[in-house]
Amino acid sequence: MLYRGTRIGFWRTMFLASGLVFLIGMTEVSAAEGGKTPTLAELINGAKKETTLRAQWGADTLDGGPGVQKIVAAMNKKYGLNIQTSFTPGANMQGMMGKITREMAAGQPASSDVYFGNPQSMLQAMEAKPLVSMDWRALLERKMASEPGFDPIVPGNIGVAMASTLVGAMYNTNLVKGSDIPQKLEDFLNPKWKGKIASTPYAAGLREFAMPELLGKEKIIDYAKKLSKHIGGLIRCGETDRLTSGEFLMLAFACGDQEVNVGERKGIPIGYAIMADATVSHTRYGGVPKNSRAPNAAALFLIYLHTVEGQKLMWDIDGLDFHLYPESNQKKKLDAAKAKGAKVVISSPQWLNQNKNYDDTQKELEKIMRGEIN
Amino acid sequence: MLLIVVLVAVLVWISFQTGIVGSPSATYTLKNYADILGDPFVLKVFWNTIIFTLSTTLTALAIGLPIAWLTERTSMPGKGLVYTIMTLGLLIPGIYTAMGWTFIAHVRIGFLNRWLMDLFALDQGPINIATPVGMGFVQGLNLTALAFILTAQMFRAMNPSLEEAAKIHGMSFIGTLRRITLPLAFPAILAAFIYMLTIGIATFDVPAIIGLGNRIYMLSTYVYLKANPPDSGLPQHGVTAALGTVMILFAVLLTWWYSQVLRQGHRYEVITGKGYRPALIHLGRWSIAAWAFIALYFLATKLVPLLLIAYAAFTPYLAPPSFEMLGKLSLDGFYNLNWDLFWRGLYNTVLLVVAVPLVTLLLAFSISWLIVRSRSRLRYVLEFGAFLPHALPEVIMAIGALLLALFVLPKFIPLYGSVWLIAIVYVISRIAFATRALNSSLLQIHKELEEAAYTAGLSPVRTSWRILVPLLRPTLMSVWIWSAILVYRELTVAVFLISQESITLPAVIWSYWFSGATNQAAAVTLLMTLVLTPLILIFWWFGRRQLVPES
Repeated sequence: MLYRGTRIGFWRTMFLASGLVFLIGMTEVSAAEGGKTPTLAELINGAKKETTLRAQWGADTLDGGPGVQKIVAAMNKKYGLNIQTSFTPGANMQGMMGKITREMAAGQPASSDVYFGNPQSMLQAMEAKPLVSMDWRALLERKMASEPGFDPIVPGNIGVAMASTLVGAMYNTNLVKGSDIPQKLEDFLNPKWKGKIASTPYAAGLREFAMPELLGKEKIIDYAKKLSKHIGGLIRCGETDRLTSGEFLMLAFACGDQEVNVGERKGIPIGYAIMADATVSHTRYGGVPKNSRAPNAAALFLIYLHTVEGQKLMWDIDGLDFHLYPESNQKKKLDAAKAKGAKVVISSPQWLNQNKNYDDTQKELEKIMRGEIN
Repeated sequence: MLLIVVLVAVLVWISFQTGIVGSPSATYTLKNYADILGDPFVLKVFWNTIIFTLSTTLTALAIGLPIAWLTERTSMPGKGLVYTIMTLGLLIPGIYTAMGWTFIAHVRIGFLNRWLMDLFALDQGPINIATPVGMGFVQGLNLTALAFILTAQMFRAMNPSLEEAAKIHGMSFIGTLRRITLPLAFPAILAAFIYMLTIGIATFDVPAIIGLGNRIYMLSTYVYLKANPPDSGLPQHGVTAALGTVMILFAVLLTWWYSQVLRQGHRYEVITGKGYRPALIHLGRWSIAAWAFIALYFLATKLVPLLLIAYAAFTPYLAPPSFEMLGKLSLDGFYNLNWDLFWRGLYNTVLLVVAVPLVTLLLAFSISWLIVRSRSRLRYVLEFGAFLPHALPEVIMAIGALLLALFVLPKFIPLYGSVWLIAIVYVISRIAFATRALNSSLLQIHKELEEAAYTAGLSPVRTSWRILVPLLRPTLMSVWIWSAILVYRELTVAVFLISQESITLPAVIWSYWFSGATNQAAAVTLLMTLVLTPLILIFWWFGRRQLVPES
């Protein structure tokens, strides 16, 4: 009796155990949307059928969840919508582009309904094509000023620039003062900073400085090798707490000054210095993933950020605005840097694409900064 | 078991690919293995991992073993409190200790270093936890409670006759300890040592919080960086999988060693469970020193980190504690918290805490019953399969599950991004522990009881429910609570598999910390501790009944 019961129990249990895996975890997956460029009215009508805008990027970008809520609330008011938000902190801009691309390849919905990125990630998007092509110029409420050598629309209309910020050094104003504040790249190599300053794992600033238009590869690779031996660690651009805490005194170089713009208003002891040698205007782009579950709301989110009130809101919550608009704070900073004689480049995927060795140079610089190459 | 084999198979399959897996650009190659084995940096990562793992294990044993000995073999008073402190130690997430110790002993901002710098007029702090040894020390503090639990039972059951004989022959206390007690305890200590080595290899939270920013990479964080590149590249799944395969080989070797040690343990058997009680060593005034040691452990691993995290949660920005900063404390960190994210994290965490232990128990009970009671030869395969997850580092299971859900399963089951994918990995990773515990308990229940029930006409299911479950209740409760707590504090798997819909509370903390929002990470940690309190109370109440030796 026991023997027979045991045999039956064995197979019954094995069957139940294997079946369990297949019974749990069925989740609904929406189909991605795509198609020809709609009008603004069509986007609004389409967004009325969408309920939630899921956003995922670094918790410091656009002030994370609270920032996205404020932008979507203002967007709802402007376009008569009732979109809810769901924000989850995610990887950096290139990481999120990689994730969305991977999800598209696997036929999964995008982790983020709207994409917010930088020139590098947009260059990735130009190759992998995970973003919807839309006639952004026609959809925007107002015209952007023209800038020689810079097109705010990503080739293929897969994205639109919406903000810019200048590359420089971020520092703790309680610990770095007066003449200690760096003015040139070489200032960071002062022995007094050894082990006390940080850089980024993605070689922010350095990767652009290495291009022929700015300081050149040979000079920057040599500089990066010296800097790598000089720094105490690697932090991400938004990690201002690690400067205010005194863990590191300076970050060479930050992706932009947005945290400082917001931090100064809150009395946080961080400052920003643009290098006299060169600077880069980092551009922030938006796009709509092909596998977005709320493509209409996503497009309206980006369109709204181009309005006067959208630009002001972005400045208030994240210290960012776009230098191609006349009221821009970043435009004033960019003009000031040019007036000082610094070499300035507006970074864009088109510019990166012209510099064919950019990707290899960045990888080499990253390895140097991580200590993989001495 | 099928799932585990599939996970490993997917991992091995992908380890031979480059390009975007699942796309036409993917090609088969041995390059991933050549890259990782030929890259001096990866070898350095391996070396760091070895140092870190050894440091972890030795620290945990150096603190946990004496406390276990003091509790079980001496007359130290307040043993119930020791058990409470040590079981509490199991409940605190590792991420919390790592964050706390950054504030204590970071080379520049750690208050201990700052104090030493002021005291001795030093330029730099003398203690540096941002090294493989330093991180191993912090992780060792996390695992001290485990070392205690793994060795206390051995001291409790040890037959004191040899020690007494040594004493009669005039051997000193130290001599007895060195020549009798420790050699007798050696197999159990070695088993605990190997068990913790397997945990140490895959540890993610401490190396991530302390190591990443300081360019100290371990295998787990290196795998994380390859799967989530901070730079311009796409995820390098092939390299990740190749590293995972190498990690599996290490873990399988350790597990094989562990099983050998357990099998040979009988050669040292002077251990019985009946008819005697070990003689206790009278500590006298040394009890004060013993308690000072335990209090220091509690302060260093729980109280001080918690106070520093509370401070960080209430500051507007992170800065060393000072009177000026105390005047700036506010609730802004909580006010500006993304509450929607917190509630989602809490919901998913609660869901996992409820579902995973339940499914683990059901599966483990079925597997254990088949292993112990079945006469089928398949039971050996089942036993091997149930123990296999112990040899698979969680980080590798997570990567395997991610790739499986992304590139293999979607056509049949849309698990990608779902909390159930995390649940499945958690269940698999807990099966080894649950079946080990249940096997031992089932072996103690004579099959005559079940045969009597069958004779009386009860079905196997009713027999299990009416006979076995009541008898196994203490073990089932213990496994349930252990699984629930480990699920509650788990980060390694979650950090690889989270999505909008499936984020867990430890992953929320990690996300805030990783993006530089330290005070919000601290605020969520405090809230998580608050939510954890009922679980702590249940565990404490239950743990006391199960673990405290009768006095």
